[in-house]
Amino acid sequence: MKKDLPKTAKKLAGNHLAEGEATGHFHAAVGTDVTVFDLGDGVLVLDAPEGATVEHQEHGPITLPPGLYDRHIVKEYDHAAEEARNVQD
Amino acid sequence: MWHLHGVRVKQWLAETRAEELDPTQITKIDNAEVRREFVRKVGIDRIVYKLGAKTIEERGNYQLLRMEIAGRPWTYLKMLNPSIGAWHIEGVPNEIATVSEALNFRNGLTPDMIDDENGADWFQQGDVILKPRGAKNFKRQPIVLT
Repeated sequence: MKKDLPKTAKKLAGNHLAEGEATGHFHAAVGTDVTVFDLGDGVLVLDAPEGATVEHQEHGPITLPPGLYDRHIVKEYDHAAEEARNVQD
Repeated sequence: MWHLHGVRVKQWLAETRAEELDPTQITKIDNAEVRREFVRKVGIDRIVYKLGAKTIEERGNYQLLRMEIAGRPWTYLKMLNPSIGAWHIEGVPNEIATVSEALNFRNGLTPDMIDDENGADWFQQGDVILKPRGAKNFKRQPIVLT
């Protein structure tokens, strides 16, 4: 386990950072020793000790320098429910 | 199952002719990808016109729109998906008055976190944002957006 992460962090089997319900598309991290950890409550951390490329079926790839990254999801405001939430796709 | 551009949608959206779709139905669609396909089929201009949206601010490929629905203001950010050239509209809180504030809300940034000179670089791919863990301050915009 990375010393920077809580002991409760769970290593995910795949390296998916997010998956689309309506499309089946996904954001996947690729690279040497790349790992995605689930810290609970929807918090994911990407460990990319030698950097990573994030790929998606629709969006262009992103190249990340080595490091630990917090994964966030863009927010939107649901006026009907009158609350902010993560964008659902 | 019914699909539009690879997005799973309800039968009514797939089979109803575009000119017969009620633009106000967009306010009832929760899923952002389905909403995008609704916009693509109905047309962003028809939706904005039908909802009586007023432009609060326009900057590049972004427009902050405000409309009145059910007697209440509803504020939206209209934006162009740079990867596929399709328009999205997504809700933002009504207190937001500028495109910049709307983007900060979407990106989870508050004014005290923004430091364009010394803040950390961050990355965005669609609706996924990656920020260096432990950083407290960030640039206003992602260094890469795809």
